Amino acid sequence: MSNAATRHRPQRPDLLDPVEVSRLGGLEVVTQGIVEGFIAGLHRSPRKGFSVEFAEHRMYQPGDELRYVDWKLLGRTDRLHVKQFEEETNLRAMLVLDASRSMDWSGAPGARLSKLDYARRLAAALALVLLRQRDATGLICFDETVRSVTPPRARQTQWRDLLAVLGAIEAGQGTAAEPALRRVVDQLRRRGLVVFISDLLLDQELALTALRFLRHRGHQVLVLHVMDPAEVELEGAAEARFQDPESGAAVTLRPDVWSAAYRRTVLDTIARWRLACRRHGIAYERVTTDLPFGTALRQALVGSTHLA
Amino acid sequence: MISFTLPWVLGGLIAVAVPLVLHLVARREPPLVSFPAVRYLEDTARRHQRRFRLQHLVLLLVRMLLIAVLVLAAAGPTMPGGVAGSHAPAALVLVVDNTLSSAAIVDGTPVLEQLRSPARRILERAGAGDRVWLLTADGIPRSGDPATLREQVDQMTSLPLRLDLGAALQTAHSLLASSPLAGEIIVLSDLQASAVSAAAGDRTLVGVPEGTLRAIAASRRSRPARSPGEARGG
Repeated sequence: MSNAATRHRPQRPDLLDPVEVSRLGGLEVVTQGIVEGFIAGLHRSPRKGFSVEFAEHRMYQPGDELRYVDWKLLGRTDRLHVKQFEEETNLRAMLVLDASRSMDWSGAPGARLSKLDYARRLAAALALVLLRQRDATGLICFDETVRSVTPPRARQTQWRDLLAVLGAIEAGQGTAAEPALRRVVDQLRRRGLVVFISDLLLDQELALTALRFLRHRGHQVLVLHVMDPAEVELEGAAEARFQDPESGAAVTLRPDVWSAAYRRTVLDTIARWRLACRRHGIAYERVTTDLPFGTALRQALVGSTHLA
Repeated sequence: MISFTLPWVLGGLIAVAVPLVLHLVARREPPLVSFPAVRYLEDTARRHQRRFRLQHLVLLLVRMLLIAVLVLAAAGPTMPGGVAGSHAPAALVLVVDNTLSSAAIVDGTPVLEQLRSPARRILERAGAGDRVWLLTADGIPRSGDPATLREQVDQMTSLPLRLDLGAALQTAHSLLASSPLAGEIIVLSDLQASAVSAAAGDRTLVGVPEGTLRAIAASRRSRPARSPGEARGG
């Protein structure tokens, strides 16, 4: 019995290895599985949702978090109602996905998803979580230009529309985040949530300017920095010529000699992004492509709860 | 002045250039790896380029130095006169076969001179902490500091005596046995049949421990020996 228990592996897709999950089916099935598992997990989680400002009650529906059920109202009316919060009723969210060439890369093809494939699934899962809460959710995909704009809507078919876009998106060449982030302003007329999913291999100053602009317009901004573990820890021993698939720039060096210094540079860069974001009230979370989607989603939620 | 036991090995110093040649000429094109975060590598290189270049240079020099040291060590460097601490104090009995046969001239050089020069070199290497005896054909062991013994070697002449190598070795062995220091017997001789046969027939040689005895032979005469008078006259 105990052996069977120790052999037991988690079946919740949100906790499985991202590559293992992606083998379970298409984007839709996988994302649904991830979100179901994730929401089931949230019932036991001490994490708070997206908002805290109470607005009104609505009828309980399966999938709603039990901690939002109004038990006093149940005692009076014998009906299950959940408390709704200001942002939940009004939230409009835009996911901004970087689909540049640098995102279409995996440090261990076959063993890890590419950053784009990971971000694609993470965006789909985030969209489903938001749409389940009846938050209007839209999507902007960009590379060197804005590739697609799906306006934020809360209707039932919205998730399928977003899936269609996410499934069809292919990696472009360059990265120009600023025009895409500025396009968000056209789509979010009221205060909303902007989730910027990118490997941040772009012009930091320009991107920060655009993110600051969004904050200035009153939007909550969350940056999800997607990295492959091989970008954090330089692997290999023999001398190699490392070439950027996006810009073509190349550097020749021995990874075993440079790995410690490289790691310091990466950690400094992450710290710089984190600091710059915090200074402007922007949430920053780093996710690596070996993280289970449930963990990444939780990071995204935690990040968003810390937003002003 | 440092001298070398195997000076021809110094030719191996050319190998010092091998790391340099490999570094400059034999560099092969490294494999191309797709890596999106090249900007982080560039930042790292910019920050640490000087340090890594210096490390690279130091590594190259260390490799070259290592080869040079190996070659020099293989050539067997010797320091005449000895250097304090160059070897542990030792006891040495130098047996010089200055019998009449050493007066012969072989290839234009007296045999005695051929025996004298290695004797001088050996005494030059001896330090103040060493215990040294000089044993010649007269069979009398002379003890003293290396400088005094060197003078005696310089003044040494061929004696009309027969050296019994066996008896000489026995004496040397007893001298060494009286000293607590690690000992060595060095025999400088033209290895005349009379001396060798005497040594071979002497059973007492068995008592000399292995590794203690070293023999340096002078050139043998290629023509019949001349009388001492002839040798001196020539």
